[in-house]
Amino acid sequence: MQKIEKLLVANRGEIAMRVRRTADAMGIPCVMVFTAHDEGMPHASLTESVLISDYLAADEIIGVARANGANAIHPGYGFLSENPGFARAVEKTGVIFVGPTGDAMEAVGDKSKARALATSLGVPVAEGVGPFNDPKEIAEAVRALGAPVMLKAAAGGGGKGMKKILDFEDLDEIINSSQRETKASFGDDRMIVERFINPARHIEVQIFGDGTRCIALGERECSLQRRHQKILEESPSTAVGEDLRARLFESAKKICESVGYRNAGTVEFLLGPEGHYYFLEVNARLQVEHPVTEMCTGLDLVELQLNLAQGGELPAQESIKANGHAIEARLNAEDPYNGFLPSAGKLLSYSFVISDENVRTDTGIGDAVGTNYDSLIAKIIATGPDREIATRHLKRAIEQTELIGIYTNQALLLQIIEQPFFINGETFIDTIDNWHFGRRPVPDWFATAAVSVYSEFLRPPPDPLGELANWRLR
Amino acid sequence: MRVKGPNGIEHALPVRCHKDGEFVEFYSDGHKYASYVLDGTTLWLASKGYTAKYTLVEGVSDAAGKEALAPMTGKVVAVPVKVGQNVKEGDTLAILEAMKMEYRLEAEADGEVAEIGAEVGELVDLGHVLVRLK
Repeated sequence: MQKIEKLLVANRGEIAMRVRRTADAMGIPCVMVFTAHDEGMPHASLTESVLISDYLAADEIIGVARANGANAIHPGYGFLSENPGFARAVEKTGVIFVGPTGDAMEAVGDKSKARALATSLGVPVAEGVGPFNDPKEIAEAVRALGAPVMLKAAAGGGGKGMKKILDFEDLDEIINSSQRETKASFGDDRMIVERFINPARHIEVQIFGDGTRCIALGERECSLQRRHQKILEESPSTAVGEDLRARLFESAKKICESVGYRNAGTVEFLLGPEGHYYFLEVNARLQVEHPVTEMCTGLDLVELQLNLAQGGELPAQESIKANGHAIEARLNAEDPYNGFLPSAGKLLSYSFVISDENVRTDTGIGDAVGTNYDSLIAKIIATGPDREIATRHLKRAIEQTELIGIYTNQALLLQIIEQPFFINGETFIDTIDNWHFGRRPVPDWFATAAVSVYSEFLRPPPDPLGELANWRLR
Repeated sequence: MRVKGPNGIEHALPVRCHKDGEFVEFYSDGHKYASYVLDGTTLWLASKGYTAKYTLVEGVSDAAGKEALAPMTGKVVAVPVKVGQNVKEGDTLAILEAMKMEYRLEAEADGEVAEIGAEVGELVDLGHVLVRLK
């Protein structure tokens, strides 16, 4: 197995900078890529940042790697990270793909195939049918299974295209909208229809494999979501005890080992009532919320990925020890008090909490947030010996974060961690959707401050010649 | 609490200062602190996780409820109404897409479609009038 001499990071924003940080620490030089939309962002402003047409331009990215002497590509998450064709094309040119093989990706990447695989291994899955791409067939399947059901993209995860169907009113419109989103995200509009589990928690297991053997690094609970997009993730889960954890780890390892999985992956489950769990999907890549596991295990998952990719040994399961509690909050460019509408625009000022042993911020933003890519601005991660202390550090870190110029979900994150449902660990995948929250009121003295600043700056300028005698502040 | 300055003049608290984007208000038991940015006539204040945007009020529009404005920059994916069509409150007037998610604009009141301001596939800015009712 060859050593990584130079690494191309085929991603943007916080994850590109996150991968870069570890590569720097390992003494591996990097080539970054960026599109014209991202000019001015940190990953686009490094010595070796190369302009490309699109983060999905597979051949172009492989060409940039070869032209710049990179013998490995880290795909990050999203974009080409779970594209088997890309993984194969990279390896065909003799470049290391930091991730699973195209074959393993294919075996677990399609939801319906992965469901069949899990079933054959005795891992429970929620009742369901598909895939279908004819809207009529989808509608029939929904009616046959009976509400409530979940409509999901067959081709990928991340909640894109996912819809809960409670009754058959507007069914055709929901199916159309779901297929459009799915098509836009994955270029494939096949859907599967699944029985809706309620109440359910989202529990996932971080695994690593060497192509034969797999180890589990811990579980993460990511139940707190809005529009099926995770916003708070933590480890350990408040709902997982030793026995359940052992069973989840076994199921996750079994699925991945059966396809010869190598490198980092996440196996997602729904945890229903009475400790019953159901396999959802495998995310064949590093995940957004991986820092939670890093904070608990003390491991650098990107370092582990790069080591494995250059022939390093997979650690023994017994060597993995998780301590304390870690929570990640996703700071998004959106207005939670206005239907979570994305908020794009120029950033007038921002500053993040200074990292210490209890808090960390992963970010990679420039001077504006655009609408071309997703709304994640930063991940704020806190840890502590227990959940209560970790929460206290998270609160401090969010409070010390300052972002001016666009709307963000910062105040909502603070509201969530102050709620009894969060404090008591009563977190389910529909908790946020069912929670009627209002705008977090700003302190009373803000109004005084605003008037004070305005009156200072909008006061008529000195007017020695009397030309502005009619100037009025309105 | 009162403070006496070097010239012998006494000041009563609270004292407010603002300079270079920082606002401080002093009290006898501590102080309040906020960062601010004044962007034209828009003012942003931020303190301890609270962020607030203020704008100077110039006038009130009388078109409220009769115009479906783009709530964000995005792509129009559907406009399921026609000029002259009667719509009811809650009917979908347009669907926008941004950041791979769809957003539905609904009629805030009953009315007749007077004008359609965007075509499917068009990129529109925040505040663009998508559908006007009468």
